Amino acid sequence: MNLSAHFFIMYSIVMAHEILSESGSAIELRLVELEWVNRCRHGDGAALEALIAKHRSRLVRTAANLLRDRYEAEDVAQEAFIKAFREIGKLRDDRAFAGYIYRICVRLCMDRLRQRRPEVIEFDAVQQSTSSSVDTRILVEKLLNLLPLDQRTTLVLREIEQLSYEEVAEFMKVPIGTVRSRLHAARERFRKLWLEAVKD
Amino acid sequence: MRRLACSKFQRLSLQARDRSLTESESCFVGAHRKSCVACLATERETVCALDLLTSTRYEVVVDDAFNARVLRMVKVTSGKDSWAYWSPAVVGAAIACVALIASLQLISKTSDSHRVDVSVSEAHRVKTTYSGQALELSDVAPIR
Repeated sequence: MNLSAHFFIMYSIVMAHEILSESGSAIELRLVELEWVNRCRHGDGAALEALIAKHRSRLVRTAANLLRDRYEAEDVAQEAFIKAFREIGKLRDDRAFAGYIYRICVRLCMDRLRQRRPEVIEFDAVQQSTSSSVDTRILVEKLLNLLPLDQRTTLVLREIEQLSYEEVAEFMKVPIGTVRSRLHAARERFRKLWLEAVKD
Repeated sequence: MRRLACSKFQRLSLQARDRSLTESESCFVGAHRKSCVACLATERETVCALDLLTSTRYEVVVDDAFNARVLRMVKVTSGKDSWAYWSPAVVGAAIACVALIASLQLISKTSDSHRVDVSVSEAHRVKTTYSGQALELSDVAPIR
């Protein structure tokens, strides 16, 4: 038996062990996704479409919450899919596809936010508006714009997207300790900014 | 001492959003909440601010046209990566290179044929075998 065959058997055993530790439906979903990713590598259009259909909503929503712009979010999600499928051959672990594509999406959102010009905040204009939900949305957007990019992304991923610390750390490629400290600072700063806005 | 307790409370009250506190931590937070009005107010402000943030969460519904768009873009970009997409351009560039080299060579050959050898073009006194009548310069009348 050659080395690659031996490696493949070992890999299958490890994967089977990990998958068996999950619940029934989760196993099925993961096996199906593994199959799709594998077929995507060989240029299967149906598998490509299935992967897009599975991840599109969450990807667009995450991008929309980060960018605060639904249409720009769709562009970013589209870019993330294209980038992920182009480099799917480089993906070593098929199970990591979801994390891989969300990481690309978060990085693209951060790049876009970095390119945006900082806006001058005017709270009076916000409070004179008539629709309260629109007011709130605009106010939150302005407050988020005042946060440093890393803090903003961490706050949104944790508070709005409800991701775990591990997931935030994985998507932002930082240690968990950094996520904790950024989140603490972001919450504190957001509170102060909100107070200032309300007082004005 | 009080300041230390307040900073510990602030840290724990923020962490309480992410995880359940231990029994001793919960006891400390509850006791401090009763004893420190400023910390209680700060905690309420934080909760309000973060609830406001959470309330503006986007709920996006993506239609099937998105799938078609992404698939089309993936096909276009993967096509651009393939040899079939770039091969006409590469062949064209190769032909242009050959033509350029050939024309350069032709130009250099043409200039070689018109080259004047400096050593040959120097003035020499040549003894000829001309046997005609020599012109007597003394007989020529001066031009006026």
